[in-house]
Amino acid sequence: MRRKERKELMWRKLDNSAKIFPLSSSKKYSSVFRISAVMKEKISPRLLEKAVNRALEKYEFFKVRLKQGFFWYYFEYNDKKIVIEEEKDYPCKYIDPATNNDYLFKVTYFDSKINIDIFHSLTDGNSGIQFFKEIVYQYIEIAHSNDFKNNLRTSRKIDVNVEDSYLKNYNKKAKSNEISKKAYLLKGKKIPFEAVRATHEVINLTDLKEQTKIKNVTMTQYLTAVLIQAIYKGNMKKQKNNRPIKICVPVDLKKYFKSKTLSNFFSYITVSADVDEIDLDNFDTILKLVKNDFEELLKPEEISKTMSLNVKLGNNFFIKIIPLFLKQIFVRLSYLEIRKYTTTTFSNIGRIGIIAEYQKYIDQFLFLIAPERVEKIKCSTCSFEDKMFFTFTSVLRDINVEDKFEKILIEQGIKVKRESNGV
Amino acid sequence: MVCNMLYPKLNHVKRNNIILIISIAISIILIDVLLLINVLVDKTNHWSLLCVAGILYVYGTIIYTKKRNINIASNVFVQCLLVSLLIIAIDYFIGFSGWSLNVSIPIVVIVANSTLMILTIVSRKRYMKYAMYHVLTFLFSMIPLILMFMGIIQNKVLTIVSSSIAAFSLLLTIILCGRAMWIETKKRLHM
Repeated sequence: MRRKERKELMWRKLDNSAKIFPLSSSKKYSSVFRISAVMKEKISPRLLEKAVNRALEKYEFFKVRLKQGFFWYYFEYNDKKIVIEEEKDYPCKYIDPATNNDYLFKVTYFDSKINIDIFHSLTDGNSGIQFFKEIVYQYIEIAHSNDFKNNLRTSRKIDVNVEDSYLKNYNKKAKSNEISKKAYLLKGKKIPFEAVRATHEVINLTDLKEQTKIKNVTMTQYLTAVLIQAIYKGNMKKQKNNRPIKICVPVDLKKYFKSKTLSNFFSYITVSADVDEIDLDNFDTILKLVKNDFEELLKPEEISKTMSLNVKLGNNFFIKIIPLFLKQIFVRLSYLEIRKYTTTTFSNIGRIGIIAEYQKYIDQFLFLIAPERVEKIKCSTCSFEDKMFFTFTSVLRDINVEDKFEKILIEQGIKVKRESNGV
Repeated sequence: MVCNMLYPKLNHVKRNNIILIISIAISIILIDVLLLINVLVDKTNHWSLLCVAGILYVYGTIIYTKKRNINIASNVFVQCLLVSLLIIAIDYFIGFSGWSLNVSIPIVVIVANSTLMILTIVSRKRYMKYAMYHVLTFLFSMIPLILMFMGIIQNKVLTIVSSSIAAFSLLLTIILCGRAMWIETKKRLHM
């Protein structure tokens, strides 16, 4: 059998987290995240296409399309040409496979910025960053070939590790005894025409580090506390609603379990701040609560429990045997309810490390996640060099939460600059 | 709000498929007019329902073929299904003498399976893309045979010929592309 034919026969199952996204996603709930790199020069689409093709040769894992089986979706090898387009839509929009040669990620460019929008079923933020960095490295190497005559990086193919680390690491005996309360849902008029506002708060990393050192907390804990107070002051205070503000924070499981998979391997913790229990006007009280919640929920046994409960559900025999079209109906209906347990999601992919010789070509990195009808604002952050880019993606008309967030940081002595997509 | 050259300026335009909306509106009006004329002029013959079935068939075909990235075998299967439904509807609306089940559907089955057989022979390398639709077409092709055993179909010769062609077509593809077919089945039915 020839190589091409062998590749066409290649397929793989979706990992435990990936299974849910195609069932719940639609044009209004895209399950897409975006990583952007703002370069110091205008992007050439021709060179970008070359860079993406080279990156795909190394990361064949991403060369797939999504197909429907009778019980579950699956990935199949995709040998079509990659589509590179100028950015002409709002960030994190639904990726229509039909207009994207079936690929589950979309590479676009605008001026000096390269974007990759990735459907979450394919991979998580950390593996997405790994692939995107390869595209950026390739682009720089092609655009400045004279500067990179000596190979600084390995040219060997990356091991396509597609293992479902969830199945390998979950605890079959995990049991849940928690009863969860519904969360406060952000209120306000929506932006028309399905537009998405992206607001980037460019935070001075030195100032932030200093503050977190003084308060003896991590950056994620600190920003979560700022976000809770910003939601309270910017959106909740005006409403007569005493449901808790619940922030869902994704957790990279590769830090807890030995795994090199490129597939999804993340879980989440939910930090809950109840207006009936603590004074949400007092920042230090919120910070204390967040710190305690993080320490409690990030204990390996707790992380393992949350992950295991999700895996058990996806692995349930009676769920497995339901035909795919029925699963789709059930998941969509149940998601209408499940989403009411989170006010917003805040994802921090941390520092984006770039090889020193390549850094001078890059100005900044951005990380965005798609908002939707219930979680009207989603937050994400990444840092590069001496800046942290905290991004709000929102479908709300007003920017009260963003304004309060910025104000709180400035009051704490942290320098912040704002950039946005102008919506 | 601060804004720089990070994003393109986008026009807030709601993108709807206007042509599709207009054609659906025209079709609904047309169906209403036809039903009204039928009821007012001639209540005994349901000729307007033939037109409704035709319109639904056209929409079924358009919606499916509008989807990009669908392979030719899936088109064969969907057409086999839609044409058979249209034929049964026509037969039913004009008094159901059984010609649809006795003659037309076996002919549709013969045409569909012959097409798939030719496709298998001329493009064996791409067969893995066709496999599942071939199996589905085969299963559909067995319906006339089941109806014959139940005594609903009287024209046994044509039904046996069509089922035999379907079985032969499937057998041929199993011989030529058995491995691809097995992998395709495993993919589609994995739990």
